[in-house]
Amino acid sequence: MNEETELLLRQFIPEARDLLDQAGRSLLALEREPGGAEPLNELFRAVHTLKGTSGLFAVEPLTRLVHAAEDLLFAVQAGRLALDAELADALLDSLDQVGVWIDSLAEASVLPDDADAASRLKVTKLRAALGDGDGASDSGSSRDLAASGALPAWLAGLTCDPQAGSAGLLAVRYSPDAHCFFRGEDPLGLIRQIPGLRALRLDAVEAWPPLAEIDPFVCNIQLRAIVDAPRGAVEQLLRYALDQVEIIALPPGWPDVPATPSGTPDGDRRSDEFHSGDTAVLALLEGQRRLLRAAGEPETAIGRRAAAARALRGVLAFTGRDDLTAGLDSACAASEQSGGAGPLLRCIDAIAAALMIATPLRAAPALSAAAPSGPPPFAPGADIAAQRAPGGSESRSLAAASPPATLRVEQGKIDLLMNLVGELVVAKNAIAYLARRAEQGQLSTGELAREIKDRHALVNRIAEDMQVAVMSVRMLPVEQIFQRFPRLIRDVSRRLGKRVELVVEGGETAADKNIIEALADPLIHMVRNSLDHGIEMPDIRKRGGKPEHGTLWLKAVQDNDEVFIRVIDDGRGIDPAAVRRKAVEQGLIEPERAQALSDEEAVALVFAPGFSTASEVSDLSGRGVGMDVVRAAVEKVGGRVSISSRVGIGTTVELALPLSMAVTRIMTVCCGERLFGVPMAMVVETVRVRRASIHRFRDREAFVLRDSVVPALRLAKLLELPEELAAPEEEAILVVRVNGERLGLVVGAFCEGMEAIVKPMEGVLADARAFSGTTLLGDGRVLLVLDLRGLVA
Amino acid sequence: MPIRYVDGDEPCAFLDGRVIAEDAEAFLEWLRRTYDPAVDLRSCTDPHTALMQLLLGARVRIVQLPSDPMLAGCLADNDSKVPR
Repeated sequence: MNEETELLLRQFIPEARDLLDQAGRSLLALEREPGGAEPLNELFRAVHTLKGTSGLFAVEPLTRLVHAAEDLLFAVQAGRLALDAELADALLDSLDQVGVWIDSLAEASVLPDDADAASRLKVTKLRAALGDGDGASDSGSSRDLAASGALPAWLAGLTCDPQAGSAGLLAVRYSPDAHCFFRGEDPLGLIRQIPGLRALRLDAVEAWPPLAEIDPFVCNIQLRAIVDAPRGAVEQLLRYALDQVEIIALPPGWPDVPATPSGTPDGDRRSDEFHSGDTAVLALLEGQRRLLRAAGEPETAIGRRAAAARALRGVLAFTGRDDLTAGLDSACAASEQSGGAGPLLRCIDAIAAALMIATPLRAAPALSAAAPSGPPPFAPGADIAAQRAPGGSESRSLAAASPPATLRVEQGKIDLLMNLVGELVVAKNAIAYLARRAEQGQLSTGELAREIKDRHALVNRIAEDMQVAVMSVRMLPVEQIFQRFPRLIRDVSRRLGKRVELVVEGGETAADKNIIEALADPLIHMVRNSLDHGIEMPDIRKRGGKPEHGTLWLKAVQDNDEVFIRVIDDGRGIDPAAVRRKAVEQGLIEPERAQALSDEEAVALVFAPGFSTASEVSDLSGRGVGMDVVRAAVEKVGGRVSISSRVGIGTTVELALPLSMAVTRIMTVCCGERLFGVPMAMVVETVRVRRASIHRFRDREAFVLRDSVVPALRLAKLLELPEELAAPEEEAILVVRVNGERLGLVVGAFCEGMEAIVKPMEGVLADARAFSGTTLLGDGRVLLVLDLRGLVA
Repeated sequence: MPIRYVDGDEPCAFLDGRVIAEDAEAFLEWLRRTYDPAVDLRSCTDPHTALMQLLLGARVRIVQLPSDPMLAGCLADNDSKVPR
């Protein structure tokens, strides 16, 4: 692939992903609202655009599949086909496949090796849904005989000399669109360039209008040809028109072995073909008559007679009238001798008469094998291969959830950053100027300090503005992860036989990119849990007096510097007694303690590592890795998760996430001579407590804060630092909230708060549990930021 | 001149070599105003699709078929409709 194509491909990949997303959304919208014109149009547009753009690259299997989908949608749009759940499944499956291919293109710039076979299978399936006897079903795309099992009807009337080694013959049908002349195309010229052209026919698409009404620039021609050339060469030659071209591999020996492999069940369609075969045969005979009668140069007459004889042999083979071959042979010989067409013309009359009287078409042995009825043929194994392994579609939608590498940003945000950089450069220049003046001794120390403070204020403002601007670049709407759920819910609920409606609220709520991305997996767990354990089967719901279809809400709201995401279902709820029992059974908690828990606390046991309520492991959830994974993932990005549930009414899981991770507000504290940072989000308050008021119970300490007992831990002890020798009269205690509980952290002294970009610990320090990261202080020192959860665990 | 028109008692158009799409319009004009037109395709090697469809659609009397048997074959049996 050359550099230019590579560049184009880079552009194509995100665009294709967008189009696939769009198509998926529209498809789901269509399922909710069957016959909706707007989603159908959007779906069609997305698929159409994808097909068009993919044509730029050497991704023929992809283009072919998308084309088949487009044909299908075209039929739906025209009202010839109803979009039911099966069809939607097939389309979604195809879109998934395309998604997988796009990923492969993104990684390796080529489709996987099995793409061609996979494409054929899926195309066959889509085309089968379209059914036959319908013009659009055959248009475009190449099909293999092996995949379809029958020769298409349009082959009727096409023939060529079978003797001249007809192994690997291809039949080509090219249906140029009406306006192709305006694009400078010459379909005939193109077809005639195919090497090994063995037969060619031009047919009118619409009946010819009277001479006065013919528009010479509207193409009304369909071209059909038999060629003896490799498929690749034909596709290469017709590459700009592949969507209008159909290429069929003919069986070896064609046209001597005309129709189906015996035993292929394909009833209705076959008889249609016979009918068209009848008329086509007669038309073919008439054509030979006119070919022989037409005036022409004597030297071409021999060729024309030979062509007619070949066509007649084809007719006899097709109709199974081998008894007439002898007559034809002698007529050929007679024509050869006399140099006239008379004997052949008489032979044609004889053949026509024989066919008319006996109507022997249906008696032809090769053709009578057609079974009375049956579904359109599939490639062997197509169904099996197309069936998803359990969890297949889901794992695929999960795979699709892998974060895109690029970030799209509004132009305006970048412009704002640009302006700020401009201001920064001006401010920087001013400092150089100030330094020169200081050097020259023009300024007193006091003046210099004031000037520096001025400049600092200016740079500070710019830095703050830039921070805000960069933050806003990193902010993404939660819609980005929400939009995957309609599909997930559809697939899962269909598999479970449940009916679920999804309501999304607050999709526009924005949060930092990292948080959004970290949220995807926990959310999928939560939603799956709700579908699997929460929402009941329709009949149970009905008996319980609930609407048959369950409802799942995904809500996002912003509150101060936190984003709350709630997953709410109106299912059976969580039974605290069952949770207690299970937790005890699984050895997660002592029986006495379990009984002592309040109902809310018992329900929160679902977050305990290893907890699972499902009595049997389903392929969806309930493998024992569920809610504790959710909690771990959420806490990793500095969020909290909580659950509340009422039996028979439903469950709400709430995630509280920091709005941003990029800039963290930090409180610095002293411990001996060292400084440490504590994320401000964890700090509840700072208090000074008289040493005497700290009570000691064995090796534990606690103090009373506004009538409640708060345990106290000494930071120096936790970090194994030397205790301060001179015990102060009053201890400085940082009250923090860790895992939902208040905790006093005895520190040396409180220092200032600051905003910082905390970098995670890397390399050999990555495992240091007590610290979440580092940042730089104004004087260049490194500040270690404490990970309080790791510290007190 | 790819198309030479000879009007008279036996009007005939002689197509020569490569005939391009733009020639189709003039050719159609000629067909419309000519009584019982005929064409001679003997030396026509590369007729554009637009020309071919006029020859087929207008059912022009062909006095000489092209020398390429493929082209000749296309023009010889042109009255069948597209099979479905």
